Amino acid sequence: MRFRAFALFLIVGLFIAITPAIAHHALQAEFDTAKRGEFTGVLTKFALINPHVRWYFDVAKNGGIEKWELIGAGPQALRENGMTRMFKAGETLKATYAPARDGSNTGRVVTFTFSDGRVITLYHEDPNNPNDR
Amino acid sequence: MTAFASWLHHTPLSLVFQAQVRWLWPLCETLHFAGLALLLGVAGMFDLRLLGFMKRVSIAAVQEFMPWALVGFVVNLTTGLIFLISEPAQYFSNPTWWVKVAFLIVSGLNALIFQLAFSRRVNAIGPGEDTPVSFKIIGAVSLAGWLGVLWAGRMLPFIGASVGAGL
Amino acid sequence: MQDFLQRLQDSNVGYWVSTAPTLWAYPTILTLHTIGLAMVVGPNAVLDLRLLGAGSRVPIAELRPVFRIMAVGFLINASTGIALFISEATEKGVAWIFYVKLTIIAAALIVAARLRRQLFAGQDATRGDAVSVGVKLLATVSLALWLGAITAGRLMAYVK
Repeated sequence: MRFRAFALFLIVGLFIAITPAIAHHALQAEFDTAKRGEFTGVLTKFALINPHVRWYFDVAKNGGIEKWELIGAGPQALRENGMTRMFKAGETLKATYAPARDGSNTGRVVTFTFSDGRVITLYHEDPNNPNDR
Repeated sequence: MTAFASWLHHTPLSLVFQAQVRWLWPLCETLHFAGLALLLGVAGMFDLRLLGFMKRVSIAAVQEFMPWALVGFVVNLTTGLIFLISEPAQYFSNPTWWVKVAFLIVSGLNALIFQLAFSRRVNAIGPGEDTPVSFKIIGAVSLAGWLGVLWAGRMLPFIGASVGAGL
Repeated sequence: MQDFLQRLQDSNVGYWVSTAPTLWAYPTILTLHTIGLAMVVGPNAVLDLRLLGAGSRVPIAELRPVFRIMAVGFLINASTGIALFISEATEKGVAWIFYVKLTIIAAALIVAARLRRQLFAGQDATRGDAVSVGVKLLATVSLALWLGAITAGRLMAYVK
């Protein structure tokens, strides 16, 4: 019986020891999906990589340039939806995103608006809402 | 299905899970991996015995470990339900999820069939004896089934996931 | 250090793992990593549980094969682990949680080796299945360490 208690203590202790106070990555844990941010910037790089696709932007703010990184789903998901050739470095996009909870210049992309007016949605909150696809 | 997913996403239980996602999700994912190790380890050993390996041990003796496989399964069922209830659309809209469900049903039915129709014969097979073909089939289906569950589960973000998926 | 990690990540292996569109790249490597996890932790857990009293009708000697299965599982996870690390070297190479994971795994393997030496080296078949307090302690520590390794591994996706 003593060993079960000891085992439990060790297991819980180890878990606590390596669990940081702040989770950082999985969507709702890393990003505040209840909020939205927005910017218009120049796409400097589009990385179709595992485990998450990333877009890098130069955003003109306060007279300077801010570097931003937006994160999306996995590259496979984008491939299956035919979205791999839409993004070209150098073009200007407007982005809406769920901001990172740690306040860094990172976000989980929600929509992109291209210069020709096309809007694509890369996050959906409510599957029942046809506008939120 | 999308209507059900939307309804589920707005229930009080789901909202509680969503609000606690920052620690709940990592905890449940960790337990889900631990549970699968336990399930595959114990049930895998039993399946190997059904297939005729480890003949020196009687099946009945190996079977005594099975409650621990059930522990692993219950842990994964519980954490799995938490995932489902938190973000139902993410799973229901993904065909790979339904493949995982299919493998789960096959594995579960296989275990049930063994329990109901074959477990009496277990005591007739002592140490050193090989197993009948029926046992070998059940063991093979079980192993393949649970590996299929693992595979489909791991492939969720890769096959059939939508661009809005949070996986 | 950062240069080295960048070069690793930009290598053919790193590039292929993170960008190749085929399911046989990143998705399969990740799935194999999970299977390897089950092959290492599962059998070790069975041995640990037996040492702690479960399934006592199974002679401990019959569980000798677990180490062979663990060895195969470890090979799978070491190789897939290296491939995964290389593909994200600049990020994982500086992540403290990754080194915590490796340390815990090393400890768990040391415990497993210790158990193997104490239980299966110079096996005296007539010694019976009495399990000493020391061995029970090792079994408990083993379970805790593997749970810790799994936790650290999962948290790699969450901790920067």
